[in-house]
Amino acid sequence: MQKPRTLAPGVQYFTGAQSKNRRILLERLRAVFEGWSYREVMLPVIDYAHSFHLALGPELEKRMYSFVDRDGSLLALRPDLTTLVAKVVAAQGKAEMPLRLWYDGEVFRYEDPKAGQQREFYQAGIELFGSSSVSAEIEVLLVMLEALDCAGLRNAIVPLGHAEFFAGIVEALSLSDEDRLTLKNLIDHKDSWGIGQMISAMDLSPAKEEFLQALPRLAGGREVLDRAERVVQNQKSRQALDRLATIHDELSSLGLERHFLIDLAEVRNLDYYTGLIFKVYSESLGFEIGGGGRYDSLAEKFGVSLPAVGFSVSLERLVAALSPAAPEESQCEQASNFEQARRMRKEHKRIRVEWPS
Amino acid sequence: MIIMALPKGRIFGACVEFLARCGIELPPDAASTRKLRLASGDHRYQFILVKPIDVPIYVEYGAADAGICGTDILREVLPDVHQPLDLQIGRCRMVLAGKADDHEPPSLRIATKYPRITEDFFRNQGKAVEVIPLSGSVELAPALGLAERVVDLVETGNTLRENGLIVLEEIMQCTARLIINRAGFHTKRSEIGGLLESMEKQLS
Repeated sequence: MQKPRTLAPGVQYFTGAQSKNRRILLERLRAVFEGWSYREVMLPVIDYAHSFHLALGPELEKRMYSFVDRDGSLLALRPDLTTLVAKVVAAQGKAEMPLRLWYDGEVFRYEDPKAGQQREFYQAGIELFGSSSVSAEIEVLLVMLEALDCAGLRNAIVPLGHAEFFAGIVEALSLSDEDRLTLKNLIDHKDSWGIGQMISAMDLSPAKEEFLQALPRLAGGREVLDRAERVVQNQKSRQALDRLATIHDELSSLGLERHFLIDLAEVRNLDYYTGLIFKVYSESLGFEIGGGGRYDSLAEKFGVSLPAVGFSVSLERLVAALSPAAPEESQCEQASNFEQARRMRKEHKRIRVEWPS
Repeated sequence: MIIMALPKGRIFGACVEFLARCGIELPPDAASTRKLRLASGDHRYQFILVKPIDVPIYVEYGAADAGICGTDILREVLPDVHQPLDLQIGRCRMVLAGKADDHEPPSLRIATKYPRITEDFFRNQGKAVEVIPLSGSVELAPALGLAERVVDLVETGNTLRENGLIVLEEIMQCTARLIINRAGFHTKRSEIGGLLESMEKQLS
């Protein structure tokens, strides 16, 4: 039995300067999203567990807060917002494309607390549906960068990767599912040594061995793409490199080169992303603030085939990456009775009533 | 500047020696000093000396950019960090050990500093055991009847022998790894790149 004041694990509350700061940040993000003509979509907190299972696969299922409805169906607190946006878009049918949407809200994941991760956290983001164009990806990156900048994060570092780059390599090597998973895991940890151990047991040409071992190091500036271009033969991976080059060059021509890196060893959530993948880091925080990418197969799971690209940031992590907000001095005028108070409020003054105790 | 977390204790000496071979010099009194923060001679590195089990925590949260950590601890803590290099130092084995006259009792209790590794090891074999987590001197447990067996690291096997225990099964080989914070890998990429290069040169 908990004591009356015991807080449930993994949740937080915010008061005073903290809550005010969160509101201000959300307002700044919203203003940028609206400024690029993204429209708000307000989402349900509860949905069928099946929806999330469809969209996110079995892995996240273990981390969902799920419970049984009165009719016996399994419900869940939303562990993800993009899934719900895709579901809404699919349900609304034919809209004018491309469709630009933004959202924010609480997300719930039942997992052990780790770096910067509570069980309830707050996300904000955008989704751009209905375009396969590279311009859609560039737009999303630009909106994200401006939103973060307006929120006060001036030094965002965004490594860009591509889901098809790894897919092409796996196909070219015709790896088994098990080997594919092992390799993916090793690349995810940038574990060149582990890859060396793995491939010494396989029968590969020295050129391929060398290439695989170098894979985790294909991260850095624009030159990484040229380095990869020289050693990757398969069509799929090469197309991914071309796409990343186009994006990076366009961003550089806009004077944003210092924010964007290349990370071809970015292999997380490959079942979800189908093209561009990116993460957002800042020097002031040891873990990612947000991320996103292209997920062209998500809407299809809800019956409508629509390409899509988007990003989200965690509000808690954004707050942690920024220097603490200065508590605001709030000016107010005193009203000595309610009649006076109502009059002053009509003039939109900020007041405090001093009623007799 | 790179902040590097080093584990006090068993592998500290090997770490200092390896870093020196890579051209990264700790102050000469590093092993004996009571200071917890030290700078390299050229001030390109700051070292923090922490308990081995805490190294991955510092690195995962970005309080340190890099660290040296045994695979025993990485496997137990499962931190979300990059692990680019095996440093080939601090080599030892994680084993299941029991009394010399060990015969499998009907219900098995295992004392260990590594509850996650132990539990995974037995669950993967389909065996139900009771794991008793301790924070040190686990070899005592069988003699006192606290547990039938232990899971622990062995280097020479002397501690086991002195307590009348023998190795029953090897669970994993352990070495020390370089670990890197995921954000720092990108935000401090030229410094981290330099560190990786100097270590790789030494290892090849």
